[in-house]
Amino acid sequence: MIIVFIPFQEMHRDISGRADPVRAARRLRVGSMEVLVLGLVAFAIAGTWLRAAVARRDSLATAGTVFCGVFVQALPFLGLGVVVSGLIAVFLPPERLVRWLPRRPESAVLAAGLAGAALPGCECGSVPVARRLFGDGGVAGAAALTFMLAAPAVNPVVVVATAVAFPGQPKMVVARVAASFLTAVVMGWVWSRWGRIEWITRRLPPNAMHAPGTGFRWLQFCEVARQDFLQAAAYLVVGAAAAAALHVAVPARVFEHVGAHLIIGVAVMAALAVTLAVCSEADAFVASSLTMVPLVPRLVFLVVGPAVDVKLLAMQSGMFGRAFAVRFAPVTLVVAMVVATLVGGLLLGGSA
Amino acid sequence: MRRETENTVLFLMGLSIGLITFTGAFTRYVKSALLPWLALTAVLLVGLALVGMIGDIRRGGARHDDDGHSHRTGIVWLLVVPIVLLIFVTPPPLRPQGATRVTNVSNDVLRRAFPPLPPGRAPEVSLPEVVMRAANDSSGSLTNRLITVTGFVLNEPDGADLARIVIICCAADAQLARIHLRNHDGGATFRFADNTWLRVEGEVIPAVRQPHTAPIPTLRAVTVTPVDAPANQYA
Repeated sequence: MIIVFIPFQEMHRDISGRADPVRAARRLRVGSMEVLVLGLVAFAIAGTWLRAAVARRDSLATAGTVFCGVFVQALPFLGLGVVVSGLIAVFLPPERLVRWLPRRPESAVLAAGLAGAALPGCECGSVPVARRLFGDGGVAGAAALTFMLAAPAVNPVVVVATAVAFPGQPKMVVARVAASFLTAVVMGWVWSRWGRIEWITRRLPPNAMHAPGTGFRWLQFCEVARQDFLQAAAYLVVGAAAAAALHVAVPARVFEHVGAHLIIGVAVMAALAVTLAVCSEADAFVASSLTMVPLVPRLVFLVVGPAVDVKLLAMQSGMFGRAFAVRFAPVTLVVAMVVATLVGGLLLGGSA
Repeated sequence: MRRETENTVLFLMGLSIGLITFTGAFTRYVKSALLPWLALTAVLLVGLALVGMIGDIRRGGARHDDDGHSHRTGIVWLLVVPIVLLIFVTPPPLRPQGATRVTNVSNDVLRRAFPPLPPGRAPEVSLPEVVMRAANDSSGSLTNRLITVTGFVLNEPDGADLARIVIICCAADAQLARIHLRNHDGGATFRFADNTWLRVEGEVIPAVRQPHTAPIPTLRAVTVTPVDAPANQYA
């Protein structure tokens, strides 16, 4: 669990601009490239020994294989996700989306939810997009937040991934879409009713994108896709490692307990979703691997994960401000848990 | 992490995916149906890395502060973990200890008429399909029929089992499908080491159906041949 919190602090410190890793690296005269190359050479030399060591120990081998399983399975989906998010970032400027929004907040929030559902993207990509959409608040503010919650949770890529991860259980897909959409819309309404603009303490740098020229745009696309991939895949490593560790370390008994009691199950899976911080395009595979947990808590995992987790908390406090993040994230967590439990109870019933 | 290093990591990530796709090692982790997607992903990642590198070289060195996006990227170091695992360590296929010891759900909803078995003296039937058919086939396609099954040996106190690990999606959801291996009189006389791969010809005797446990059918063997482990060990 400690691993999960390091990036949070690191990222926060970096966003506030107090640390400067580039300068630090220059001073030390050993750049990251040297470290990487030396490390890889060391691993290449130790490869045979490592392989044997892993193969000898059952728990290590299982953890390694499960880690690779989750990671490799999620990677094509992540690849598709960053391609689409790159295309949107370059060819569909958020300003154009705002112009299409209805005037009234209620319907604007609904429209934003639907727009989020139509556009595939990872939660890591949707936070910056939502910040641009948010502008200086107003009608667009609530709509932007709904978009931020809906885009990663309800979109074609996630729907396909969920359907693949839960074969023969179309109700799981329907329940996930319904619960996530409801959560996003409710949070939009909550913001337009009780939200305060002074919580937003961080401003974006002026929009330097959208320079003319197709060639330049393609380079920009590659840059966005590249950045998104590196960020998202790195957090996926954390999630896959946690999933592998859980597989080996947690005895099946614990999950039987989780299964026995609905409230405990929901709480445990929500806590898991917040701490694992798996990408929304991959979390269905993590959830489907937790075969000992009943479906409703697993649905809670799928609904909470894309809406609130440690990496999102970090990104939101970086882009919107801390005062915003410490209010928005807990409320979202509660709303997501309640909505997912209700929808799950309604659609999935008592079926395990 | 510096931009050059990021691009190198991205390149290696694509390379490692390409490598496990090319060597077939990816079947240890995911379904083999994912092959084209993995190949595309490898091409995409290598492509993005190359575009990044070439762009930096053209500009005469990497930009260190991009667009004020302040994605500081210490977290990217974590990507070295899967690269090392996939290229150098390549964890082995799951063993039965790693699989959840639950076999297929068997309730009456699943009970239906399966398509007939392929023709021939002893057609090859995959082990999970044997379990499924034995539990749920209302047309009795396995009754009095010689079939060929491949799996590995799992020694239990009351005799050897023939087993196969089933993955639905990736190695994280692995389950164990098993049948009891007996001789033609029903005696538990086979002695093989654990994890020996066998090709068995025989007849399947379905287990008595019970409400809460998955029934394990019995294979009465006619011939038993030790074989090499298949390239894709999951079924």
